[in-house]
Amino acid sequence: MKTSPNNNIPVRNTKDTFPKKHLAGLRRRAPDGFTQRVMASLPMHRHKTFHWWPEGNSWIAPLLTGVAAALLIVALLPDNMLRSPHTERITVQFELHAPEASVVELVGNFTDWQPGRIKLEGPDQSGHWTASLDLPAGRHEYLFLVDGRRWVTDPLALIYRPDGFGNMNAVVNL
Amino acid sequence: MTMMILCLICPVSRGNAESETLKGNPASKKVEQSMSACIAEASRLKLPIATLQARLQEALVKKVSDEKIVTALEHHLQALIAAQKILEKAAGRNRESRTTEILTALARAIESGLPPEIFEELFKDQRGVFSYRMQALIEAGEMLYLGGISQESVKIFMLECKNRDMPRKATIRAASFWMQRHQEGLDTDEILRRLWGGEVSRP
Repeated sequence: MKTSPNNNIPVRNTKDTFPKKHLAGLRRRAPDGFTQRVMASLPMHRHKTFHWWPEGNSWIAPLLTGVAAALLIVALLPDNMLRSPHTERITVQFELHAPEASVVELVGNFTDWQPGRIKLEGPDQSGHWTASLDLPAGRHEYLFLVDGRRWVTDPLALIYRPDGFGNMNAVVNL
Repeated sequence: MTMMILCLICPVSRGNAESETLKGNPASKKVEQSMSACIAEASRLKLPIATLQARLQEALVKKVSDEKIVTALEHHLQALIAAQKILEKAAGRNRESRTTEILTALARAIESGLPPEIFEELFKDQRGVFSYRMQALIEAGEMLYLGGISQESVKIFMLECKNRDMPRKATIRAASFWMQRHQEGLDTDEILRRLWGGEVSRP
């Protein structure tokens, strides 16, 4: 055993620690099954891999949640944020006293002047026919058609306009 | 020729045009010729033909005479031409997307009897900018005139609404208020005072 040059601490000589006879007995490769035994002894670790698209059916719940949230937001928004003046609709009540009529219809620009599209309900006990319509904001002209042959001007209208054919159309501005 | 007229009336549901329109309302040859001429002229002048179609449809449903239909169509065409002249004078060649609706409202108001000069003054400083509020203004003015209000008062009303840049609902509400006070017998000055505290800029 040698000693270090600076002190008398003994220094091992590796050649002495691992003599050749020992090195000659060592195997050059791992025994069969060694790798498998080592891997099996290691703990399981799941790698989190990022996927652009969720795997399996895991996308359904988030999608439904988003749709529900969007619908809730739309439902809670005030009307004027969603509707332009052109799309705003206003409920209008139409009424005619015609106790002897069998059928009373409403005909106007909102029916493209076609009869048979809007029929009033009635008559009630007092002989009134009524209809409630959601009309777009704007100007509308109309007449009642009684029993398919008699044109009647709405007596409750605020404004009338000659139709140029001998009748007076009722006008409503919404 | 009849099918062409029907197609012009119902451009969307052409398959059902005959069943819907001709149901007891055949158009005579005279009416067809008049309608064709009106549409041709309107197309040449780039005027909307939807209102001409609506006018014809109304006439057919009401089963009026051919002479009245022809007169009504020509009268409406003239109103459209007059309205177009007013807008072109005010806007020049600068047309906006709302011009068709404004033009239609203006033609209707002229057809109802309001003189074009009222609107020339109303639009003189528009510089081609016509908003949805202007359409409401025209319709409210027509509403007042049909309700028996004088042309001068209608002019004051429209100018005041324009200067205040009132939205549609407020304009219609103000017109209804004026109509009701007029029916109660109040004069223009009193109505103006109640509407706007008398602070109006008379033309």
